[in-house]
Amino acid sequence: MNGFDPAIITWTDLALAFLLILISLGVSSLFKLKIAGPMFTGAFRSFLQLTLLGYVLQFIFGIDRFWHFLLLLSAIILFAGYEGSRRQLLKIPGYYWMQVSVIAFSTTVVMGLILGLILDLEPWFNPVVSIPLAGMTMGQSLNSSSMLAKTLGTQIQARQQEIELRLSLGATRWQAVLPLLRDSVHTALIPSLNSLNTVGIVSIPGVLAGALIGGMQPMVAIKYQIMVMYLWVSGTTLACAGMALILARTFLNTEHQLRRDLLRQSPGTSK
Amino acid sequence: MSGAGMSSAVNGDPVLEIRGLCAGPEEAPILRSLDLILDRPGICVILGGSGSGKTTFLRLLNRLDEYRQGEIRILGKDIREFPVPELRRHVAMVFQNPVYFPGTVRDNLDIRREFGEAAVTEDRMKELLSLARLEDSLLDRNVSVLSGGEQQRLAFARSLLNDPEILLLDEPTSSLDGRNRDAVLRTLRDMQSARGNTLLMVTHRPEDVELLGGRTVYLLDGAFVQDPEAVRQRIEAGR
Repeated sequence: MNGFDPAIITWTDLALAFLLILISLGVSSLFKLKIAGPMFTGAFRSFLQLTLLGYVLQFIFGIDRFWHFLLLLSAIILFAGYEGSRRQLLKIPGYYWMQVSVIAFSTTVVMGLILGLILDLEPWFNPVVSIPLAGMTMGQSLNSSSMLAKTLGTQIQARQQEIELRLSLGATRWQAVLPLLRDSVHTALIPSLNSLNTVGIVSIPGVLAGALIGGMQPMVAIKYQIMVMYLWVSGTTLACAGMALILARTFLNTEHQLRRDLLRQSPGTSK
Repeated sequence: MSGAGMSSAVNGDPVLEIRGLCAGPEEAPILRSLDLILDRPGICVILGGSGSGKTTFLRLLNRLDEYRQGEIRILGKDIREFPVPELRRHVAMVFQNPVYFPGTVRDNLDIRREFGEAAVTEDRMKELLSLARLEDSLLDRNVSVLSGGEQQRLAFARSLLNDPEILLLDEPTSSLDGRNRDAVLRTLRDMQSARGNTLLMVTHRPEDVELLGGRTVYLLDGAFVQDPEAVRQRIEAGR
């Protein structure tokens, strides 16, 4: 492509790119937003995590063993569970494993379809393609399901009288909480739906930008991007639906009673 | 008596039978070994001060909470033997503050359609409104514009949707002013008289007891007591 070599970017360039973060830190300081700390930590963490990922990917891309692929995915999912737990206002018992389960579920279904039905790779799990796709599915699943959990927890806390009224009128636990589940899933899916409608017009997504800069033919990059958009939506829908069902079972027990003990705790600080 | 699940249990059994009912942690019980038998349909008022365990008691009968020890029987059948949603159709509850679903009076009376059940007929809705002394013309009125008294009456009407044998009322007049309070209590008395069911109301207002009539039971620190004066003094002290 017009003689551009994507490998020209150096570590020095990246150090200079940190100036962009300094702009944000300056804005934060000017308006006393008190986010300088988290922003600096986030910038440092993203640098460290992505650099580490680069080394891991170099290793993974060089091998063709399925268990390496599986090990890396498992490690990411276990870490995603920890990240999701940190974001919750209510301390829900077993939340870590709920988060891990929904991400594993959505990733397995979406990647199963992509690797088994859509793409014909050699080997079938070719990590060069499957790791980035799985990583994106997991990231989207984490964001949407943890947002859903936060919204649903807050909704159940705020609307407990309404839930108990439904229960007292003879509703089952599912019937009592269904309107709240619908609202929360809808809210959690809005970003994905919005991105479906604005992609290509308002925004050029990171995957496409990365592929283009990396030297991929535009139409090939676009095809991957379209697949990624569909993957995002199905991944987030599955993760949100899974999380909503698990939380409904947690907040309302088999005797169709609202677990008010889980709602009484004073909310912590959102992270 | 309505409801297939209950009819077989009627045969002369008390409407409500409570024996040795305990709730809350053993080291700090909320209810202590309560016994109460209501032989036949009628009105029973439980008078107790703030924190005496009145609301907890009603929530146990509706199985919104679990009890630690003891037994509750409705028409001869242990309440733990009922599927919980079915029990709540026989034992309905009206909460302290009027809770309503967003929408019209009609939406509130037709709420069971959300549970996948048949729509409530227009005639049935009017009958329920009439029992609660509300005008038919309110059917399409948004609930948010009703007065506090009307909202509480709507809660009564809605609680009768399943034609319950027992109606539990948690201080239904606490959010109302004097005139509305008396009118609502009279409505309750008339509703009971018209339907011949059992009303079990908890309150901290001795005046409610006089107006509603029926049997009175006194609750003090989670136990039924025989000394009305001790309960009245506790209520006065809390005012």
